[in-house]
Amino acid sequence: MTEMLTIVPAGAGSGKTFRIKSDLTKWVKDNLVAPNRILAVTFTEAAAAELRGRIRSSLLAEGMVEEALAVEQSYVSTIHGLGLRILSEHAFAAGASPQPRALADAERDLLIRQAMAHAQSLEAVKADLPRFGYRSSFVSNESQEDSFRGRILTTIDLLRWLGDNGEDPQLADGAVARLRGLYGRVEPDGAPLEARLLTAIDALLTAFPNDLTAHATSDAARTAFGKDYRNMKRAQRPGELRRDWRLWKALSGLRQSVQGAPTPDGYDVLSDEVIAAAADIVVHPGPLEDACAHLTALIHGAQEVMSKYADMKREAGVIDYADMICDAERLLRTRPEILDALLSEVDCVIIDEFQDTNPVQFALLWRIAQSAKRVLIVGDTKQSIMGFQGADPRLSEALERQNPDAASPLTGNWRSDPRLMQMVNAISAGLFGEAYVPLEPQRPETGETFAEILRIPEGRRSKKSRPEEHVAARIADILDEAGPVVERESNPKAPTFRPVEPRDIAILAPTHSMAARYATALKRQGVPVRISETGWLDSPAVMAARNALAFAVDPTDRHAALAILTLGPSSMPLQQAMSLLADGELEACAELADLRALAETAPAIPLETLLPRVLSAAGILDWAARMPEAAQAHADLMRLSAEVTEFVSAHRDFKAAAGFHGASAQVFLGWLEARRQERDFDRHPDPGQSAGQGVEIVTWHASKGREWPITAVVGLDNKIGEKPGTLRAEFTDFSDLSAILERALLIWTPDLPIKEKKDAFIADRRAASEADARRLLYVALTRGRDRLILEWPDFALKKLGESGGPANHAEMLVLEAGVELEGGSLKIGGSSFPARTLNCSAEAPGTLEASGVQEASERLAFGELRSMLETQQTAWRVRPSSIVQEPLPEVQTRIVQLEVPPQAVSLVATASERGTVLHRAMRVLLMRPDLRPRLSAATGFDEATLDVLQAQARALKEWLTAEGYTQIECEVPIQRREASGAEFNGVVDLLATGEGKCLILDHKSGVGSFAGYFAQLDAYREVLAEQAEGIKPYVAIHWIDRAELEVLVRE
Amino acid sequence: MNGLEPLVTVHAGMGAFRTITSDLLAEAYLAPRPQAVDLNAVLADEAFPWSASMSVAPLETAAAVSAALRSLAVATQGLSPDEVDLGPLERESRLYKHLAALCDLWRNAPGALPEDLQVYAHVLACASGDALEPLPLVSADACGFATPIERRLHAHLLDHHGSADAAFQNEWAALRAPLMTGAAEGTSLWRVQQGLTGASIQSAPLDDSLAFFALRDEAEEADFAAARAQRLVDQGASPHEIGLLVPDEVGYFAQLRRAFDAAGLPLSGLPIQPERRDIAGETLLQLLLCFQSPAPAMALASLYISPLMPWSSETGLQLSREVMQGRFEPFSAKSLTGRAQRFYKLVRSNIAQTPDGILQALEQAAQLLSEAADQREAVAAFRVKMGMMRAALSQSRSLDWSALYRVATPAMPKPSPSEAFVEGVSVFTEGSMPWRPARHLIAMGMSGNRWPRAVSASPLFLDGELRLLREKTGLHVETRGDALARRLEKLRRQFLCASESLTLLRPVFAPNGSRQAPAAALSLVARTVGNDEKGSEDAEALIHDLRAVPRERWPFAHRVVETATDAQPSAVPKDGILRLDRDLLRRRLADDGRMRPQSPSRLETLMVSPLAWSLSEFGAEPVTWAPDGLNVMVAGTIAHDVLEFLFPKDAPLPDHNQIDAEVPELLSSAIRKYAPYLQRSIWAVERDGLLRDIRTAAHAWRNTVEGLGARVIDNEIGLQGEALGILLRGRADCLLQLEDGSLLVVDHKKSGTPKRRARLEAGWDLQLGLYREMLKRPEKTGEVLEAALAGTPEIGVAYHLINDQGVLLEGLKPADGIVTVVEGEISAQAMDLLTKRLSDVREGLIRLNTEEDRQKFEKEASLVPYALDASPLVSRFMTPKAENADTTEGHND
Repeated sequence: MTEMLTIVPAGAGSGKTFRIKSDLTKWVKDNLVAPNRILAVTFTEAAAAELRGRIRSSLLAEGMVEEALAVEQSYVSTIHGLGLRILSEHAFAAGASPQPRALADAERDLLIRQAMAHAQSLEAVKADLPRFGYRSSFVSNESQEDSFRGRILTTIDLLRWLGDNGEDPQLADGAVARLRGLYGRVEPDGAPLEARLLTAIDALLTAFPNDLTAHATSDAARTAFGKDYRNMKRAQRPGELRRDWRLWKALSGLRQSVQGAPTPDGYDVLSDEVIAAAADIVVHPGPLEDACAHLTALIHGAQEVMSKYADMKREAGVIDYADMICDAERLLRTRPEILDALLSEVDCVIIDEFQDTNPVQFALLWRIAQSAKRVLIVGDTKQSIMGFQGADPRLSEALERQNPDAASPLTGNWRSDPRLMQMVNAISAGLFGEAYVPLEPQRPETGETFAEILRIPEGRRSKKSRPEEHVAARIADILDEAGPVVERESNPKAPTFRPVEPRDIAILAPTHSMAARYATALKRQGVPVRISETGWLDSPAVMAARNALAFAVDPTDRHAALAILTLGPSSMPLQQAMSLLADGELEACAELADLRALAETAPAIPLETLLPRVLSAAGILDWAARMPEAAQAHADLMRLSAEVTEFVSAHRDFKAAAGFHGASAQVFLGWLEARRQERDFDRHPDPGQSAGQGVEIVTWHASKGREWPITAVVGLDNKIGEKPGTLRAEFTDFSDLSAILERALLIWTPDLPIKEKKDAFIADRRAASEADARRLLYVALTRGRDRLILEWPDFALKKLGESGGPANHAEMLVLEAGVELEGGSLKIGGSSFPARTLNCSAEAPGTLEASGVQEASERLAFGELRSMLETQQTAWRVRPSSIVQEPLPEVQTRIVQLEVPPQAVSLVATASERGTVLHRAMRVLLMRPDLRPRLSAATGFDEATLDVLQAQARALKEWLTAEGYTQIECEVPIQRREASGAEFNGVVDLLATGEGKCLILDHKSGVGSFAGYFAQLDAYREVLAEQAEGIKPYVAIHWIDRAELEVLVRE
Repeated sequence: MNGLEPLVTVHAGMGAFRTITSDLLAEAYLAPRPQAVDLNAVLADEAFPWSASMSVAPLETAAAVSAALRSLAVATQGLSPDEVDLGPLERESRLYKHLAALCDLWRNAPGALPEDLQVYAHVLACASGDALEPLPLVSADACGFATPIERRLHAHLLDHHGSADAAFQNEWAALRAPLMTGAAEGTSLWRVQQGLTGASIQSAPLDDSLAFFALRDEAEEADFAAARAQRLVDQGASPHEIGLLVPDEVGYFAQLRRAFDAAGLPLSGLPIQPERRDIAGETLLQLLLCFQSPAPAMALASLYISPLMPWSSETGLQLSREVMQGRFEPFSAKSLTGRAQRFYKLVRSNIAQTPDGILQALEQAAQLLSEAADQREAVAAFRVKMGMMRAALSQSRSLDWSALYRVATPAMPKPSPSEAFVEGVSVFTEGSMPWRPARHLIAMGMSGNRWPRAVSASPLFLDGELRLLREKTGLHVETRGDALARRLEKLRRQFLCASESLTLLRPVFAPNGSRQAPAAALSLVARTVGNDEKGSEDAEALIHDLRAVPRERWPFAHRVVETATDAQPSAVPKDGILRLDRDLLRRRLADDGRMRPQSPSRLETLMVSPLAWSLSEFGAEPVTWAPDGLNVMVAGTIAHDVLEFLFPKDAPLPDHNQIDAEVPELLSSAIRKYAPYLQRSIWAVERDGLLRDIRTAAHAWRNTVEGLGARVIDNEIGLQGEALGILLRGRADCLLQLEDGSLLVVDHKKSGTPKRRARLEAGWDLQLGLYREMLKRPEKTGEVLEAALAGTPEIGVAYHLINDQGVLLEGLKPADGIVTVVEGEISAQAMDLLTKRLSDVREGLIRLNTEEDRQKFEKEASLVPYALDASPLVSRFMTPKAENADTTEGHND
């Protein structure tokens, strides 16, 4: 049982890593914890590596070297890493693969697609996707089938966050009951409503059989009339009004006469009735029934797919990321001996960022933590913003509540200027109420401005000026002023200052797309920017490399030729390239000669070998090094080679699943192109330090865990509210945390075609959305060290408080934290904080003259380009068999026929193996005939064969004796060592010596010529001659298959 | 070998030193040939605790069990399972069960033991007289890291052969000394070499013998290493006095090759990149994929470009390009002859989906492969693989495709060792000890999961269990901790080869751009550095930021790179016009010497982007290898086909029941024809969707045709005519004749009404306008059309929009309420622009697009300008929009 449970609520900048590190070091020092018996779980790989590094170095700093080394064996990893390790270590118990292959997303999707094809529960929805609101998207090129599949996938994700309980079919019942309860009253029968509407439409279309576009006086009217007519025609089709509820909604809004744009006489009256009848959709039972059917199908369908998918994975011996957690959770829950085994390997459990765990992760970790000896849980529910990954802060809130004695909150703040910290404390008190524990600032004041407000009058679609333009202009100003910021590494009590640089500033935006707009605005101001932007695939270096690769494997690819010539290093004008193309001379042009030369062999070369050659043949590396953004280009090309490695090493099933077959460059290039749409795939890699560091632009979510001297929080006008179509899991009861997964309730916010109904569901989620928004605000506002700049969206505060709660994040600050802007200060609740306030004009700001010019500094590269040093290449290890002499020397030999029955020795084996065993047999038969009984096992020869060989050996020995050789030795190693360390190594098959002479004899099986082996024999002869001075050995070959000797007579 | 010191013997007569390998032992002690054992069959026994894992993951399970068996065996003294004393262990424990199972395995299948251990076992059972030759040892002590069995073997050999003469022992020690001595005492490098793994060495301030640098990635590391080596050479070192310690990763090998070639320094011992993929394996795999019906287009394309095909590489490229453009039966296949033709036909034939059918097809294919001399080896390899396939196929009754694919999976080519030479900079790889000493060592890749590599967990033994085993039975099976310690000691010894300096390089990023943490070894090295006040240093603090060091003090060669000021010099002509000085319309001529007719879709491309059009005229359009998928084009083709057969010419209209009954069958047949892959189960949802859309459209279309009082007089009708001074050719989907004799040309479109209508009303429709023009001056009309046109009837044109069943008609006045009649010049704008474009290209002018074009076409013409995305060149070579036209358009999130 747990001897010590500590829960550490750690607010922003309160030093949680320091706490973990120091607690651990102390435990190790006190011999409470063995360093190889630490189980620590963090949220990301990077955090795990950092934690491991910190533990290691603090132990090293204490002189505990052995202990520091032992940390490498401990379980310090992400939670997925922990799950995977549990699954590997206990694979046999689970009947699973001990080295499960993790499924790639494409493979997972393919398996799920296959499982979906046969899922009965989905039939009703599959049969009519548009009826249930699935549409194809122009923006993402996604088909309605894709969006349906996407919905099933997210439902599966959600259910899997509930572990095995996600398979409970009753989840659907609870969800549907809630749906019905919130929806409100409907008529029992929709038929009379339909009849009324149809009658009204018939009457109207009888009177007006054609659409009214001829009467339209404006584009808007024309469009509306066209649409209304089409909708009414459609409504007349049998069954249409019983499936398309959106159509009712549309019909309830028919266009009628407006001022200056009348409809023909009689139209308004007839359309009044259509509108009235269509408005009854609110009480029509159909939409509700469809929504219930849809929800049931989603849940049951996802469960059905999950179970089929699980079978497929089991058969294939693969797992996905969710399995790493779910399977591990199940193992520990159902097999106490495995939990015991795990616990017996650890002395302490440390969990970082506990607030970010999803339910099944929580269950897994809590199960371990509950029984571990020593537990340290660190987290901050205020910073729980990973809801989109299933994180539920209420789990850790409940944990804290239920273990009040374990709490050991961190209350200091080492990050921010004290005035800034007080301001954040004031805001947070407003947002979180009494539960908020203020953080005590630990840093001294900087004496500089710590808060700034940019009041923005014009909105995000304004034609006059946009918020990002004002923010960018202000940042350009700040950089131009080059005021002081505190050096991060300096002594915290007596800080040193240095002028602000771009890398000291970050813009925090709610979404990636908004972030991209700020990047553009900053670049326009001439401010260097660091943002992981899209465009990697089409960046100049990568584009050139892709086309060069395409041309190298297909020199008839004219498009690739055109692209590499015009967009690549040669920068040929398009006019010239097109002329070459028109003249049919494009592919043959001189600039492509090196690539064309490569084309001979390129189609069969492994891609990892080919890419560097292509880059060099096309001159892309040198060209990229000269680009203005060379560091980025270098990083881009490196990533391309990493993609090659990934493509080459990706499992074949994985590529096949994604529809890719083959290993050629064409397939690789298609694979890159196909992944362009993948989330984050097209983003540039980080160019690293040398790129010159720019202002960083990150999302609020991505800013978590980071800090900058100056942060600008933008996009406070971002709306608060649940997105329709979202399905979530909540818990009805937190009293028993070890059984939490059994208390799940699914909450659906349906994307209903009827706005008032849809709004009711969104309103029901209001409290939860606001709680999310508060936490997100807290994260964004606590990233700054010296100064916080707020982009204050006056344009979004015009309807303050009209929506029954804060409509956006700025409204939340006003309504909940009581933020007021007053002259040069920011009033929050009762306190006032001096804030540099800038009232931005409605017009766009100008650009700073000076800042735009970034001096192109001299760029240095490692090394000098030199031609290859001319040296000898003396082999380090000479193997005689590799010595070849060209042309073959002329030698004179004589043949000695051994007196044995000429019988070929045959043996099924590869040539080299055959040679080896023949040598072995010959050696034994010559030297140790007493060991012949062992030869059969050692060589695989049958007795008959051995008889033949023995006869040869005997004959050979007789000949040697007759020639005067008194001593023989077999398999004699010879070695010549040079001062340089180079060596000649060989083995003489048979060395015979007699009075004043010696003979080198080589056994050969198969065919060959003496001349062909002469060089090798000669090399032996030379080495032996050196050792036995004065004697020049004779050389001979024993042709085993021919049972004859060939002796050298003269060279 | 676990031991870091090899067992070495010396030949008394010749003075040759040799490492005692298991091969040498097998030779000297006449070991029986290793027993072959079908490990998978043995391991599958249900009594084993891993049997369930074995059935789902045979490879991985067998690997894990073999590794565990080895680690257990080497922990024994005599390689006998009887040495494992299970008595003191709890019978119900996991440890007991796993150990007992391993011992059973070992007892029942001694062949499961690795071959080298089988040799050891034999040697240990031999008497000294059994050896064919003496093997005196040069060292009396076994390596400290040797396993129990290695120690035992050492003792055994010593017993049989004794030690070598003292002279030899001394000579051997002298030979080894340069690799073991390290740097001068007291230097930073010496501290690292002595103290890396924890010997109590006091830390001391850093001197020149040790340096740390952080680089972005492995490419920079390689550049840096070359630059550092250059400087060392300039300062008088010989290349062979410099060594590189490199991770065993292909990426490093490639980068070092590049960087050192550029620096002009020879590298010795760098592994060689493989030159050829497993072409035989790939070809076999693609063949199988093509034989499994329906064949994916990309498998066909990949097969066609295989070097083993019985046609030229040009032909292969052409065939593959057409397939990837959607033509499953490429035009270029028609000109194949002989073997090539036979092979092609085989691949495209209906192959019986039985083991026998597939086998026969494979055999035939094997006979038809390339006869080129340079492919002979690969063809032979193909036939060897075929043998395995034959075995797999002839044994099975039903086709198990995934098993076949497993057999056919191509091998991954690996780098091969190169012949080292004396005069180059030495490359030492991670896994082996340095092969010679160096004055200066540069160690690379000090980040992430390297130095030491992590030891993976075992499914058989937890570390705690192994410690318990040791405690209870004295059996010392290596734990993960032991393995790590051994790897670190190996690193220490690798460092020992350096006598003057060690430079440690840490890549901050992996090649894919993800950040990497410093390697554990780096902190250990850093620990040896420090001064009295502050104790040891943090690794990160010691790492030089090169940019912070003044250039004069850089310890490596460097150069100034000229930078371009502009990313891409502007290569667009000022007026945005390319001049090719020839009539681009007459580039390709028909047989009669006239220009080839242009289709409406080509002309639409010309209208939108002359550059995109000319690329395709010159056969320079890009072809991307994309996986099979359902896109609008394919869906449209399928829908057309269904409608064509559902409403045949001169037949009464089908009634609604008939439509419901016939659409599914017609859809299946269209799918087989145009998109066979859609037959796979993963496309079931899409098939349902197509069925739903087409059926709904068919019902509505039937009512429309009836309401118009029209009859279908032809489908898929070829139109050819002259207009705008050029020849046109198109294919109208459907020709209706109304009761009054007027004609209606209909085009089915798999899209919706509103956009199309807006386009017509804006006068930007090209297709219908061109149809109408063609009908005005027709050429080569068929009988049906000729008859219909005889009375110079009124001609209307219409779009049938399948997605929302709308019909947009122009040119006729049908009864009210049936279709939407569009008045006005539906093509005026488009024709104007097209006329202008045609006159341009006739003069050889290609007007590049401007940056406003996309928006203009979308907004003004309500058309999606696909042609602008036809090639990246089109968007790269746009002329900038005029400054004053800078509009601030809305953003959509």
